[in-house]
Amino acid sequence: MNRSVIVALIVISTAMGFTMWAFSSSMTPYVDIHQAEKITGQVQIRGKILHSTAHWSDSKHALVFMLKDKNNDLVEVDYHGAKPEAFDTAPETAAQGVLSKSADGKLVLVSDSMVVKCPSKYSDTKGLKNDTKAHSAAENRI
Amino acid sequence: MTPGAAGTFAVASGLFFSIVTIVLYILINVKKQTGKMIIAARAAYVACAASVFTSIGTLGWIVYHREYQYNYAVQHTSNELYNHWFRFAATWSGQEGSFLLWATWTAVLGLVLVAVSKDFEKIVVPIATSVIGFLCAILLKQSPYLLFLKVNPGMPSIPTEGLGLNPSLQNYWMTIHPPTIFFGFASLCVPFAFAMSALITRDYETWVKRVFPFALLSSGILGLGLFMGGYWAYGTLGWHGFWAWDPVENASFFPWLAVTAMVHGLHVQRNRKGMAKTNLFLGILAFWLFLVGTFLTRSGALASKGANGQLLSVHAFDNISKSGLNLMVAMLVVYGIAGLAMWLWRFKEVPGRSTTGDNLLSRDFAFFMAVVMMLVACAVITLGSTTPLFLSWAHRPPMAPQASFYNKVMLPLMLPVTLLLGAVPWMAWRKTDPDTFMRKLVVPWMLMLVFGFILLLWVQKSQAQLVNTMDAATYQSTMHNWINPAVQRIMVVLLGSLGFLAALSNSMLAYRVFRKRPLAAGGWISHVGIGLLIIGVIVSNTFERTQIITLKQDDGPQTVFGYTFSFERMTGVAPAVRPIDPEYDQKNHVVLRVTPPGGAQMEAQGQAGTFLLQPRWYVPRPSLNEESMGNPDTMFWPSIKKYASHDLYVALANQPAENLYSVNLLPKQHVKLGQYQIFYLKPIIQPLNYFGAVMGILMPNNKVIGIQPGEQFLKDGANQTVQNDSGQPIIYKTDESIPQIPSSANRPAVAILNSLNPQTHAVNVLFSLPGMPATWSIPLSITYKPWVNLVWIGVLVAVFGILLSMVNRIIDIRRPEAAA
Repeated sequence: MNRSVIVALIVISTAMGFTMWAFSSSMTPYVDIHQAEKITGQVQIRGKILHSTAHWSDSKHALVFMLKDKNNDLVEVDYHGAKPEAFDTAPETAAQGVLSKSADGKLVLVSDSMVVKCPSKYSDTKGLKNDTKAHSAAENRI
Repeated sequence: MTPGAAGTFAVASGLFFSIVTIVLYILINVKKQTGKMIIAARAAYVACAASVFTSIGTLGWIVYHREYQYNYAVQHTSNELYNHWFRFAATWSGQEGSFLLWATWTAVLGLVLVAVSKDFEKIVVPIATSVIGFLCAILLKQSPYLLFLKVNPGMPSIPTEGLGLNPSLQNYWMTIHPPTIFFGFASLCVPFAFAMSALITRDYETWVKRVFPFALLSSGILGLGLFMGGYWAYGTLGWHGFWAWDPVENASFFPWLAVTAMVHGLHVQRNRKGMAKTNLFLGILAFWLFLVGTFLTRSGALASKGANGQLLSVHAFDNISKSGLNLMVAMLVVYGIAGLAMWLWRFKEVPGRSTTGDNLLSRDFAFFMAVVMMLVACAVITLGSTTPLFLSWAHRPPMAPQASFYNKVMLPLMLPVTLLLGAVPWMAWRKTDPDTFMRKLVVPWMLMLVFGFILLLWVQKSQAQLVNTMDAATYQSTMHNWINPAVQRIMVVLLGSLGFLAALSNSMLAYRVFRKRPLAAGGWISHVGIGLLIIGVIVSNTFERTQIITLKQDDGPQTVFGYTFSFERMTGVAPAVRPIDPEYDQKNHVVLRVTPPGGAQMEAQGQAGTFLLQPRWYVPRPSLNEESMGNPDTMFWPSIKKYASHDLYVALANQPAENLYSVNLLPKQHVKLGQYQIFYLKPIIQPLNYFGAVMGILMPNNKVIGIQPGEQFLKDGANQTVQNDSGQPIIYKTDESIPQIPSSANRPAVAILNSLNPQTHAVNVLFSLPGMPATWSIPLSITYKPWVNLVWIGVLVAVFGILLSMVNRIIDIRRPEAAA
């Protein structure tokens, strides 16, 4: 075996090892709120957005809303960042962050990253098939 | 014939003629026939290409003319879409349209291949044609020409309006980015076809020269497409960055890495006859990876199972039909197995020459390592992006690695790559004399040290600013949470300096080569671009700073990163029923006046010291009914002030809110509100229909104006109240505006019923009146992005270099072999 192949193998194996490490450390598991309470680091909680609770908090400079997970547990999410475009119509989100207790003992997910569903109105057939609203709305305008 | 029938016929005819073409070419290959048979095969191909052009033309016609009897037009265009370019671009905004775009470009390239591929034609053209055949088959199964009423049998009639093109796509990039990236994608089948041809005919040398321009074309055009996508996302879509490691972005990046690795391998083979096996493999791999990427983004694997919808990627398609999907899988399997089997079959007889073992200090080795590392990067990104696929096959909850995964892997990988980039111009083929190498490197090396030192000072300053200016939560969320400041400092300075060395060394050599043979300098020029890109990426990603503020009209200007922001006005024209809501106007801009550092002094000297930034905010809301059905989608567009050294990137972090004057009253009560007296006479309560408050305003001039702000329950066709998802009736506000009171300072007078207690009849009403107008609170996300221009310049320089090389390689084909 010549030297260059050895060098190449070293590079590849180092890269592989590094990839494994990076991979395992950046897959944040989806957990429910109950499980999340036991984890101190980053978690990803998936659940329903309670849109009626969503508001911009001037003091926190954050989008604040309640998230309901599949066990119907509730947690407040303080999302520090620009609001994702599809947030308003998204039924669900997966919010990532660190769960902490606020001063008044409330559970708060301090989140910096959030994935939401695409705007359904524009994602092809869904917008029309399951409701007639889009259609009637179009008629109302005329 | 209706356009839909014509389109369907054209797709069917495309499939038919593609089969005819392939059969004829197979006969030519088997029977070693030429002459008439070739002419027949070419004619069949031209008919196939013409069919594809007809089908995209028909779809374009349907979409452009808003033929709403077709489902595709209803889904992708609307009456409001008036710009001719967007009306046309809506053609490729859907799944089927983008397949058609791919088929169209493949057909164009096929025509080029018929014209130029000469003795390769009889294998290369049918392979390209087979791609068209598959695509036509998919389009027959997943037709864009379906009638609306067939797709939606429950609908009473053909709609008079479409759902429209997503406003964030209504941008000039929509007209050029998809065609560019799809041209790049489609072109990947050419290296594949040439590699297959080489393997079939056992000619492992000639194909290199012929495929070279096409491989460069793929690399250049895909690079350009990636650039456009990144710029679009950054400048218009407000992704706050040029690259998000979104699976869809990755799906176009890993084929680029494969084909660019191939370009390097081909270069070695042209000069040193090495890497023949690798090049054949890479030609097959690049196209196959593109198919993997296409499958990934269209299969719905990125859209998680069940009613949850997609959560893993922002822009994956998930509505491909089962049979369409099966055909996609068939493409993956057919091209993958055929390519790999052919390659393995011929593996032993492909001439191998151990060029790479000669000397570690040689161009041979540098190019070999370049290929190795591009493939490592390619493998990492492919694996990362396909994770959701594997997880869904294993019935595990879908997950995708976050952006930090890619950043973590790419950062250390870039170090040896950048070092190589900087060193390769001073290396010779075969063997480099270490002394000469060192002597040549000494000047760039010294300059690099100077640059590195300056960068270190800058980095230390920037790190301090980062900690000082960002709020803790935002600071944590950036890549700083996995890299400590000392390591970060070392990495940035090291990578930035090496990037500088790469740009410098390559520009020195590019200049020397360019003076003698301008076209031959392409490769070096593209490396200059990559060097600049590396500096731009590492610096702008590490040291961008974001601050989120709430700019309140009442509280006056706020200063962030030395820039002072003050609110001027909203440009949107509010509808009559919503007098203080400018966001329903698609042209709504939030006009902010920004005073940069030192701007006040300039202003004092009579110069223009300030500028305007106008982030946009728009709520598509077609009717009053739809408004009340819940929160409609809000669209945000950022606004960017570009400086040579940095960008100031301003976007709305949330919808701006109006602050109004709130009044609580019981019936027959009155209260003083500024210079006005507000009277509340009685409520009007019609359960499940209407709530209203009969009120009066005593004006300063003692005139009384009667108002009746109210709330209306939304009814459906059968006069039943419509409820939202949580079972609450849907209500919308009525009689907000007070036309009797004239607007003052562009603020119309309004009274909005906020709540009415059905038991106590207590009301809460919000007012905006002359002298006490509603004021805005505007959440702003302000990002300072240093050196981001290097990213754009770097990519454009690289693409220019690649395309220059392509021209060089086209000429190279005609050049007699001895001169090469």
